[in-house]
Amino acid sequence: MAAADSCDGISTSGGGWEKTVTLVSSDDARFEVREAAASLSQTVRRMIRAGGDGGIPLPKVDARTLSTVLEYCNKHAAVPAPAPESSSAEAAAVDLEWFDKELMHVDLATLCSLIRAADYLEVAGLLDLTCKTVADMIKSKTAEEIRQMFGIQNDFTPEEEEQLSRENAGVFE
Amino acid sequence: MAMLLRKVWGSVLARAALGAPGPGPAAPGSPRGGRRAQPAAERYSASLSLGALDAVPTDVLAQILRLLGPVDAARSTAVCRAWRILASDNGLWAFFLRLGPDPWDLVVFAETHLAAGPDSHPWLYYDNSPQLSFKQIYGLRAVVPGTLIVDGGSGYCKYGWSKYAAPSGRCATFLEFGNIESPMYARLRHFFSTIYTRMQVKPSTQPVIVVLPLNHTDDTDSARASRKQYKETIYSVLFDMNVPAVCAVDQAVLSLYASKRTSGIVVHIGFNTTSVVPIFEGRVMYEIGVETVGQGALKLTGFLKELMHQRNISCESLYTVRTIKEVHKLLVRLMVKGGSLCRKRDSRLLKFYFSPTWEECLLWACIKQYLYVWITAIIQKWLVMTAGTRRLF
Repeated sequence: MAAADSCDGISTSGGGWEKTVTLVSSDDARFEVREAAASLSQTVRRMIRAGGDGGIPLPKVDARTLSTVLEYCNKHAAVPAPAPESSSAEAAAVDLEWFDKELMHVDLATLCSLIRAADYLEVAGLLDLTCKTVADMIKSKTAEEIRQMFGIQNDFTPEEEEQLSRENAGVFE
Repeated sequence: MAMLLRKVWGSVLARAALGAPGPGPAAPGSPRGGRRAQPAAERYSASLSLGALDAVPTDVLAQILRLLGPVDAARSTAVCRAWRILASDNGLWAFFLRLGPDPWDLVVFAETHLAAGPDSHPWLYYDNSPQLSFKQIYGLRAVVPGTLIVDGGSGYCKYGWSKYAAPSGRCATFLEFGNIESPMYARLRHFFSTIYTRMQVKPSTQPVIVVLPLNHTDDTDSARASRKQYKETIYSVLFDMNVPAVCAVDQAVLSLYASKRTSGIVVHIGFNTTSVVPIFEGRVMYEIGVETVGQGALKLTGFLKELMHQRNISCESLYTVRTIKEVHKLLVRLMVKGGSLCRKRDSRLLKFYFSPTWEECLLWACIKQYLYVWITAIIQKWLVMTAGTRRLF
């Protein structure tokens, strides 16, 4: 985090051993976050390095989504580098897994905006988590169930549908 | 067809080498600028909709599809047109093929060089058949059943499944079935039904690959006729047993395929003879000439015994003919191209037969030295013999 020393504009709160940065969402909500947590986002990390005035603007993320992303970041940044095979590391991993599971108990719209935010902010762990959640939703569903879940129109002609079922028959079923 | 396919694989491999994290573009070889390339799906997005997932970036959708696995990804092609384009992406299916049980380089070799067949020479190339997508390739590979392989050698016969790295068992050659008077048909019938019984499969369920011994051009007409008859009899026996498909392949061609080439010169050292076989695009070039030398594993065994005697090495385990034969088989399938020797054996196989001690390692070094001299001599002879016709390579 040596790069942060050069960031004059970014508020570094009061002499404590942990630096914080301010993130500004698209609807102008300001979030003060520990730099270690914010740095889980590669996008924010780059912006910290570049420096700037009065917080880091994130025009593509709204406050509600950003707060969830930061919840994830705070939790995951708090976990120290795992000491392999110690019982506390194992417990921390279980705790983290449980936290991730709880975090993914959201509706589809929220999940999609989380994916977009994770992609834009480049939080690799959160992107993996959300993708996996969507993949698990799709797994072992029929095409009709998938359409209903995501509100997709079936735009195939009957001939095309027949051709598709021929293509997949026997191979993937 | 072959050239096109090769290009496709080439572009996929190049992309993999770059370590590009995103999905491949829908059409391989189309320009791709960085992480956010414009896959086909995005170009159509004006008319195509993914509902709630519309807002999700395409490369993230591709990542989700990779997490789905082949079965769910294929099933999801039926959701809508946009989804079909995404889930039929060649990059996605190349990813699934890479995860498959077969090593990637073998898949590439099989789907380019072997799938093209021996008749598609580059200079004869014209082919209107549609190019297979990677999804179709994956599907075809998934449904191809296991094949039974029967490799009849001069000492004994090996048989097994195409999906395993080693034969599952061995038995006597078909000549030892029945008595002297029984006709070839009866012997072969007995021979194949023994193998099917031991493998515990019904003949009608599995295609079979029969490995044919080498055919030498310096044979007499009668020898050639008897070999032809042998081949015909194998076919009629197997089809009488309701085998769905039979493929008889020359053993030298198979050794060459094992080293992932379709053209080259194979030095095949058998029990009694050694042959140098030129192969071009999977066909034995009889018109160039197959050279056969009357030295084989037997001579090698004698040489080894002498060597070991000289060095006072006692290696009892190596003294049975069978072991010697195995060791020598591992050693001697050398692939030769352009006059340089490339050895294609790997030491993992060796451990399968014996765990080497330092004495055996010494022996190994002797064998290698001996073989090198021996094979170089054979090659030189072959090069002189075929000096006029060799330009083909």
